[in-house]
Amino acid sequence: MQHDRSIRRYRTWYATLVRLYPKPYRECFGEGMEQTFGDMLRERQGASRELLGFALWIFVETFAGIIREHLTRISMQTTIKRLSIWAVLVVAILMIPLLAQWPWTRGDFVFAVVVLFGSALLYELIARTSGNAAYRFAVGMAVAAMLLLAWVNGAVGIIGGSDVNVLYAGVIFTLFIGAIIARLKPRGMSYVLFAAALVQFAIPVIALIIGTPDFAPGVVRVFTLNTFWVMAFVGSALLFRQASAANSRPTA
Amino acid sequence: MPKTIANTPLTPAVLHILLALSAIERHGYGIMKQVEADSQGKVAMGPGTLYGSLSRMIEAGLIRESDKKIDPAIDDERRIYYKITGLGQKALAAELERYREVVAVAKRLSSNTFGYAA
Repeated sequence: MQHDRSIRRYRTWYATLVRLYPKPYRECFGEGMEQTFGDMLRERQGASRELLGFALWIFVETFAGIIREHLTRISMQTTIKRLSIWAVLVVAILMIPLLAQWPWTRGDFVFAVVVLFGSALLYELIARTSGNAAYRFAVGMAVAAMLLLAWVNGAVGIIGGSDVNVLYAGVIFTLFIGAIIARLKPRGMSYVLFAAALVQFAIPVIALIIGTPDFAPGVVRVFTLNTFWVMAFVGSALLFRQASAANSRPTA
Repeated sequence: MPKTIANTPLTPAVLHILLALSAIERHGYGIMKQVEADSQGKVAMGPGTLYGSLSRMIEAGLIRESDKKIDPAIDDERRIYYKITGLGQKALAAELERYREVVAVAKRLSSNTFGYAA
């Protein structure tokens, strides 16, 4: 009789604890958890084993579960929230050509959405693999430089309207293949970004060597413009190197 | 392919839950007792761990909720039963195959190194 009262009391306390779970989780599993807890107590009662210590252990175990479920939910919500912010930003950027009535075709808009949102998604997917600020900044810098490269080449081209601009796809190819080979590890990524900077630097040189006729807006300006990306890739490479050094530093 | 609990080596809790549900559907307490029996008491789960695992397994498509019914062996409360899905059976078979391969390697190594079969 005394034990029955204890079981009822512990189950009431447990039901209160279960209310701390996130609502969707509680609605799915709350009732089952309370029943299971009651079954476990009854089993112990049948075996004439003490209940209080056992109930306390289950409370602690369930409390750990509550924290785990909340953390999982927060991390999921953060990802959805961040992607929603990116989506709003992309729409806001696309409103500019729409409102200013730039002569954009439907294909231009599709290209813009794919490049802008694709870059945001790429950044979120890669940056979330590390909590290191230098790594995240390096990823942001590389993705932004890649986005600008695709954008400028898609719009006008760095080396005038010349077909030689196609060579810049080699930079993006280097980045993608390199990232796969380096498996996004900071040390490997720093080499990949240095390689991308080298390819970027080499393209106008190759264009000069093969004698590209349309070298607008002039050799010096092309090289100056090109140097912007070279610097961005080198900067990103140095940040990856810093992230790698931070990873390999022994912790106290 | 996204990394989910369905396509990575299964955790002991998930493996034991799948084993417990491989033959018949069970409710939470039934799963817990079966896991305890199967593991000879080595895997002990409280409701927090059990239902956390069930939640993730439902999300991964390894198990699903079945009917809500009374278990006359316990009391007259209606309980949610869980059953293994086709994907769950495949994941379980793949995991057991992985274990078989590991055991085969261990047997081979121990017979080569120590001169006896494990």
